[in-house]
Amino acid sequence: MNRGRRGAAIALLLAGAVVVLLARLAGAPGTPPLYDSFSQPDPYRYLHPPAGARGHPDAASTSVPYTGADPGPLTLATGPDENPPQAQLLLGAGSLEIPAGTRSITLSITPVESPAARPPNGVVLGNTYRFRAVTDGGAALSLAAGHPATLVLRGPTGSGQATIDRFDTRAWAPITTSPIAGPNIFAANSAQLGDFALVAPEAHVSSGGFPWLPWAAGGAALLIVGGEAAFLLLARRRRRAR
Amino acid sequence: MSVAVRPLLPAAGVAVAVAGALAARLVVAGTQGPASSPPAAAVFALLLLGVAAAARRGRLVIARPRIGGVVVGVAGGAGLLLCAVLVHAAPLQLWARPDGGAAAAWWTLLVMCVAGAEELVFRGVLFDAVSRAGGVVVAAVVCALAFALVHVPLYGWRALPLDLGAGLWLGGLRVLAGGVAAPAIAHALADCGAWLVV
Repeated sequence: MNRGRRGAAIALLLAGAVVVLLARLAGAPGTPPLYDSFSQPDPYRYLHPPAGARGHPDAASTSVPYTGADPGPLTLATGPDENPPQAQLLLGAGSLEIPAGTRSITLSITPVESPAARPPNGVVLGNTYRFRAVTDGGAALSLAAGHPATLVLRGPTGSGQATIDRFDTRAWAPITTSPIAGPNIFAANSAQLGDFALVAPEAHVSSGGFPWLPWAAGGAALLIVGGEAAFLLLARRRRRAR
Repeated sequence: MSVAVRPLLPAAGVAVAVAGALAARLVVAGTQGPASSPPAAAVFALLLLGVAAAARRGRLVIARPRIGGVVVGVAGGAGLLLCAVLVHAAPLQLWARPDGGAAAAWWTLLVMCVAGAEELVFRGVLFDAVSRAGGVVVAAVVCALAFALVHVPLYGWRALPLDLGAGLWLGGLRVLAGGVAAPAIAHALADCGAWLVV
């Protein structure tokens, strides 16, 4: 191999490594672990399964001892029979306001009955989940100001453009939600724990998981074809000019 | 060893064929989503192998890899995995993992087939076609862009920078080793390793 080719290879490898590292550093959670593959989520488990659907959704609970020092980041995911989990909770360091005298903290995620109230932005998809953090004495813990919890909910296939809503004793209220990772998985930051569910406009519920896919595929194809055609034309002109 | 075969399909034709294979993957996947459907992945791999074979005059040329290419490929895969381990994302499980030994075996086989087929097209026939016109660096960049765009319907736009970087890395392996075996080995190792280990 000549020196120029080896130099080009090393430059490409360096550029690739830098872009991969930057993409992983700056990327939102949910990007694939590396860059390609496929995964097959388990069918959704309903608290009250419709005909032909699975039931018995998992709950989750974990307790951590508290000695006065902040317990650091805490995560909890429903399982073990859900792949990927249908509900997950991520608390950063310093997220919980913990009263003096607390000896342990228990985090839990439980599928619960959906309230009868109808969300203002559509219909509840799947289960309502109760996210809680309590002390060993049973007192509910609140989140510290400026330290929201990250909630992740997976909906049934065909969830479309869903929003995570929080039920606040009397009514549902949508919170800012991002689609994350694969189809039907959504994340939101919330300043409070409590009852949450995925909500989607009725028209979107049965419209399929990735309604934008054909457009994205067509756009990608046009970009590829257009770009390469332009490049080949330019290269041909250059050769002729020589 | 790289085999110089005059491509029947120009680069644009290869791109159109890849777009067709992608469209077929989306159709087969349906509402399940293309990143969640093994049959769709298998169809995609088969169609890409067809594209590679058509571009090579009906011969699916897989030159016997030199030992150097294998070493470069293994090292390249390890490098990509290292990137994934070094910059570990939030501890959330957002993608389904293969469940059980048999499922993992089938999953690994299919992932390797898809990775190999993608490399035969992107760092194989497409790379050869573009490098004849613009040199290896331009070919590596164009192929990385195409590689990244093809994955947008699977994972969304947020995955594009990652796929672009990975495409550049694989292009660098292609240039360094002089054949498609190195990026194919690296690609397969990184895909399997990242999902099973990280």
